[in-house]
Amino acid sequence: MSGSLPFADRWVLLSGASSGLGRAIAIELVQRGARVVLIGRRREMLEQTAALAGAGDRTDVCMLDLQKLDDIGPTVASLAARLGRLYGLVHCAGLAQTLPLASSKPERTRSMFDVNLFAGLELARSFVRRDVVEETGGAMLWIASVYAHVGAPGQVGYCATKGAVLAATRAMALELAPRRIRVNSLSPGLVQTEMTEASGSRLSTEQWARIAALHPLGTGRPEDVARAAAFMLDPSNTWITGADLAVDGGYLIQ
Amino acid sequence: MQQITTADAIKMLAEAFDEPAARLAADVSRDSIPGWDSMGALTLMAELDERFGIELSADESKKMTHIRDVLALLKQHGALAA
Repeated sequence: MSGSLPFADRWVLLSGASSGLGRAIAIELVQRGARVVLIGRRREMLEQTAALAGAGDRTDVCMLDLQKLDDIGPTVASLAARLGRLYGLVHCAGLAQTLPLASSKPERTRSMFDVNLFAGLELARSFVRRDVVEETGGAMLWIASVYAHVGAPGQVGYCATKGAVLAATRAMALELAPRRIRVNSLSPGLVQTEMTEASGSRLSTEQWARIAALHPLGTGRPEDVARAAAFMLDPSNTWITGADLAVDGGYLIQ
Repeated sequence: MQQITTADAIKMLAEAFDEPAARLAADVSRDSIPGWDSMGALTLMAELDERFGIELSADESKKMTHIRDVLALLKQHGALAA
């Protein structure tokens, strides 16, 4: 049906597909001919994403709690056994908490590392298995953050997780280049989503306004990030790997 | 709901604001506690949320001007033992 579109019916795994950036990326990928496995914890939300993305045969809903790291490998293996080989992986699921250093106790920081980094690594490890990824190669995309590049008060743990994501993507890009698996990342600035609103609920209106003002083009929409994600994953984009693309309305150029 | 004593609450605030507990009492004002700045307020919000499930908005946090306001909040949520 969508064989003439860029993704030509290839399957892409997408974590964090329940809402926000993940939902927008799912919709964009389906519009470009991909079939997308929607990974998340909340079935109802995933089904809403599927409905918004269009025809039912373009998506597959996969309930998975990414904090249960041991469940990830078997889930990806069974998906591949059922759907066939996979072309892409997007790790979009993320946990953000505004916590000053004094509050950054190991268990609080660890929960962010579990979702933002370790779950992504488990997905990646399962995805690159030779009986899972397409034999001709594939593409992986990690959603990092401008906070992988710059600091912010109250974001000690979150910055650490996103910095680790960038470092890991570079290493994976080198390791997987011989197999033609490209690994890239996006660094979004402030996009109004459920997650950013929840993480920022401890911030005052003035503090929010100050952060928004640091974006010369204003704050972003999920669709802005989704278009960039589709570009980085596009199968015809064969010579970009280990790259990070800032999608931030100019936040990082100052 | 976990209940704590006033002494425990003062100890929690002392840790959150990095201030000796002996300096903190109900009538001590926010202005006189250097560690009760924007980061200290965020630390307190995280503690209240995690330990007692009290979700404080930034505006509510701003309105607390004395230690007694925090104690009153804990009491109001049934977190402070009588």
